[in-house]
Amino acid sequence: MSTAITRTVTASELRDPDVLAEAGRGPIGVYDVRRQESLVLTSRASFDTDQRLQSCLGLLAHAVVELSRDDPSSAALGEAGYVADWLPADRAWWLRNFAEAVAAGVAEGSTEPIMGFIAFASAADAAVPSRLEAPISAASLSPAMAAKLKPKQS
Amino acid sequence: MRIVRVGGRNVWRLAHIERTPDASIWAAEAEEFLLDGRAAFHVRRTGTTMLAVMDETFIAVAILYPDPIFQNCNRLGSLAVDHRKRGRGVGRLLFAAMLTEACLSASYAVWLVHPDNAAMLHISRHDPRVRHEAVDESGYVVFFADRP
Repeated sequence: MSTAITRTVTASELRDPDVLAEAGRGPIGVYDVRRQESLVLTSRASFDTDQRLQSCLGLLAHAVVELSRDDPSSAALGEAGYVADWLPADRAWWLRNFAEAVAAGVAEGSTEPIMGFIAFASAADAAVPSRLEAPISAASLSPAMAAKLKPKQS
Repeated sequence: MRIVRVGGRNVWRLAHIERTPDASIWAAEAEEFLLDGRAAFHVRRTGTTMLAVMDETFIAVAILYPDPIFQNCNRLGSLAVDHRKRGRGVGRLLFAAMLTEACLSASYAVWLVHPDNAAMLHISRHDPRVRHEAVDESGYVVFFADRP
């Protein structure tokens, strides 16, 4: 997930503090005249982010393959292994949203959208507060509302 | 500020909503449900919607899902506003959007408000779409609205 190269400098210019500072903000190209080859100079933080984003892309590829199987392996899905136990429709929901999270991560140049989604969805099987599922008592309904609202068929 | 639908591309921004320090039990329950990820249980259900208020990042979130009991009725499940952003009409904006959303996909909407939640009681009582208010057996105030 490289960012666009902002400028190209020669190897001798690498002693210039301004060049080093620019490299810290984003990748810059370095042309080595003697060897006649180009290098890309980038900050360690940017490099680490790129590595993590590549890992996330790898996980997406694994997930597409693994979640298309009838019996997906949680081990193959790494930190998203919890999805393997889900119903097929829920796995499809997860995969669609995970792909969106990866796209957002690439656009933002950050793994936060991806790791945030994995963490968010991992709590999906935790208990929901009972009040949220609680039926509203019939006594709460006015006659007019009671006439309008019909209980679902059991 | 604008209202956005919460999905895979932006759900990570929920982590930017700061929980209320020393929140009451009922407020903490709603915040935990929305921000700890348990809302995902509802999100992955068909017909469930999460909306958020986006400023530079998320500052409020709410969830809407089909009522477990009534036909053709949506339940406004929970709404949380970052405690640092309250008092600017954020909750009112999000509530109005949720109720509009609720009445697009069903004829009725229902929601429960804790009797100590003065802000939500005020907002609910001043929405022209509210048709009925009562106190539920649980002690919560229940509101019903229908499609205008």
